[in-house]
Amino acid sequence: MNQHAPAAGPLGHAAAARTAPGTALAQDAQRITAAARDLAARFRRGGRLLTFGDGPAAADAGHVAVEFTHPVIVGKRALPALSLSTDTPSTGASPTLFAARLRLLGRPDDIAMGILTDARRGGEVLDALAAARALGMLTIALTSGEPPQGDSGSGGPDELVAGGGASSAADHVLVARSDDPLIAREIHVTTYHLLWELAHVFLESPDSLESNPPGCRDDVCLTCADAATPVHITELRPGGLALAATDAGTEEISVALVQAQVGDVVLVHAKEAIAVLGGESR
Amino acid sequence: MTGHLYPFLRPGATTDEELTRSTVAKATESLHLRLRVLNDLGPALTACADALATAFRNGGTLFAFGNGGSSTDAQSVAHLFSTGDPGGASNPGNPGGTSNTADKGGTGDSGGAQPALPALSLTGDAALLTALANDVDFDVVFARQLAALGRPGDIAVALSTSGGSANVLRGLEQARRTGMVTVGFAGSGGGRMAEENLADHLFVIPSSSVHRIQEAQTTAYHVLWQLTQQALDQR
Repeated sequence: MNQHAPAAGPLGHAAAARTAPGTALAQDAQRITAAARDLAARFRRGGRLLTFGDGPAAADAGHVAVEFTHPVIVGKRALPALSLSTDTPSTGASPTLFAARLRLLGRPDDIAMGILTDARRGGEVLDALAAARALGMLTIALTSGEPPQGDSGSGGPDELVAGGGASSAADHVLVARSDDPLIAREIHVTTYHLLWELAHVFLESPDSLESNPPGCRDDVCLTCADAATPVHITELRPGGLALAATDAGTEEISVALVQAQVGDVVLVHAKEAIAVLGGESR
Repeated sequence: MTGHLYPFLRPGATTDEELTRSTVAKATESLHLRLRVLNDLGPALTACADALATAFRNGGTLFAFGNGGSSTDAQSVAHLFSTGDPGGASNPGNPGGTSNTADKGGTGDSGGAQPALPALSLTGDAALLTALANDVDFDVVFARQLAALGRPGDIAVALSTSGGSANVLRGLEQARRTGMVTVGFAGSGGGRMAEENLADHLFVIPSSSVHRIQEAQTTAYHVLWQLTQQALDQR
């Protein structure tokens, strides 16, 4: 696997310790793909992603939320996601309120993603996953467990000591196969990056999911546009809104973020004008 | 729009096998990049850890900063250094990780709780970030905090995937003016952070994928923390 000569000392040790968990992640590709498919189906139904994590994973919960709401790859649509771990005045010093926050904010179509890197604090995350499941939400747990025995990679989550009992706590349990919490965290980062990418593939591939979001036609809907689209402003409306002429008809968009006039061509992403390209007809 | 992510996909041709194969390839690429980073950047990480250990020994404080996903990495860096606690199953009741006598067993290779070191993230305070961005400019959100909080001998850890974020670069410039040890994480060739030599210790992840860069940076700063703890142990 490693094309480099193993180095001695702590660095060589660090590299060696990462090889088996990284390989095990690749062997879990099917599980990750299956979770992403369900995730995409929930987004398509109008669901939102609610994330939460224990101590070290609180930052990862925030990372997942920003990943989905503000994709790093230009042109990917924003998907609704929020982290319950970043709002410290609401959760305070204790994450025990995850479940309560989730019951308050969660809806049956939503998705709950709980991240556990620290089995000592896993209880709060498991409580929140249980609350999510009771609401009818899709539940995904990123947890950690013992490394696989041998090289078969066949040990499923059910056979693992998975994050203090998460193995049956979620519809999808994705296990970082390392008992080193730092390495488990690294595997989680790759896992949620892959989930994000695959969710977009499923959302953009009409054959892989059953239906389009309500109110959208493939050729018109600016909300669902994957790329920023140039449109012509035909009328300004109160409240930072405007009517825009598209190739396929007129749509209402927001121009709150730009100084647009009637006649301007603006670049629209997710129904929001993000740049003025120029006043074509003035 | 999936073209550059999944060039093999044609409309209506998405199969589970193709997606699984591509996922295997990406996970494997992530592992290989991590191993390459440990191999190629290892000596520089060790040298940086020695500099950080010296700074901490002399009473220095670490400040971590970045944007977006990298802001959460900044929080992770600050959490790891300031709790000394990688997480894991040992040390119940010692979440602060402040004790040298903590049980070090059962947490794998991270070695369990280590001494806590003064470290802060500059990305967590919405009052400060919104005040600076609204009243001045977003480019100064880190530089202004460092100008107020930083002292000579402190440590600045800048995280960026492009190496080109203006506010991150201005943070490094301010840190250097103050006389801090500057550490930069970047990717994609290193951007301006590399071109303008803005960090004493610069780690450029050899990838053009934002995701793979972040994944390898996570490994790099985890190992940097371990090497720093080992360097502190050695005197």
